Amino acid sequence: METKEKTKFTVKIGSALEVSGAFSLRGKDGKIIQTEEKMYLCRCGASNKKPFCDGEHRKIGFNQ
Amino acid sequence: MDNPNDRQYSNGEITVFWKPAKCIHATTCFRELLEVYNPRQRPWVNMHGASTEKIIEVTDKCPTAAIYWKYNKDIEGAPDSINTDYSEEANPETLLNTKQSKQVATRISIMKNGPILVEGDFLVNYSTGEEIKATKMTSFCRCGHSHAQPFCDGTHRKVGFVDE
Repeated sequence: METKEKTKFTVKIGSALEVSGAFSLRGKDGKIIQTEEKMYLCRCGASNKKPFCDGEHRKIGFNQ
Repeated sequence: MDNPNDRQYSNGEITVFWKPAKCIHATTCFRELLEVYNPRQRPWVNMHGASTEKIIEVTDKCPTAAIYWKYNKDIEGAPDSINTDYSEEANPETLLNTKQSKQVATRISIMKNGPILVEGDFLVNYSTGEEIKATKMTSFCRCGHSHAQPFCDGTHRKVGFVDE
């Protein structure tokens, strides 16, 4: 993936936030987190792998 | 102790406190209450633009409490250290421009017990392909409870979201 490409955020209702393209990610402690060029961030608040999605939204019935 | 960039604004009943260092440009304040929070005006906060109740309602939505309020009767004494020069104040828009000029790639920051902050040149879509309007800076809900999904509206503070 070219680094010039715009970062793309894809919101799936009831699911995670897909992020692709060139980006940097900092955790809540301010430190850089190494990721793949595509990642899925938790939107439901229930993941056990925050900030990433672990599929927990299905169990809690997240529908937003 | 106080930051020289901090400001405060009062309508006689309540006082709104503004801490630019905490602003993450969620833009909730001026999207929802431009009559009070207008970055193009000096001062950028007009406490007579809306009712006290409305100011409280929108101020409470700030995801980082960069703006927060107190009843004047609950404020003890006059804080003499606060800067009252409103001609040189920072506001969400000037802060945004300053940050953008230094920016290269999209930066995503996870806010502790708060939203996903995004700054840079990016697109936001629903998985259906429908485009969502976004600015150069936004914040996505991470607690699952925002009423402005997929964006943050400050509800994580009300629900006590903890990302441990």
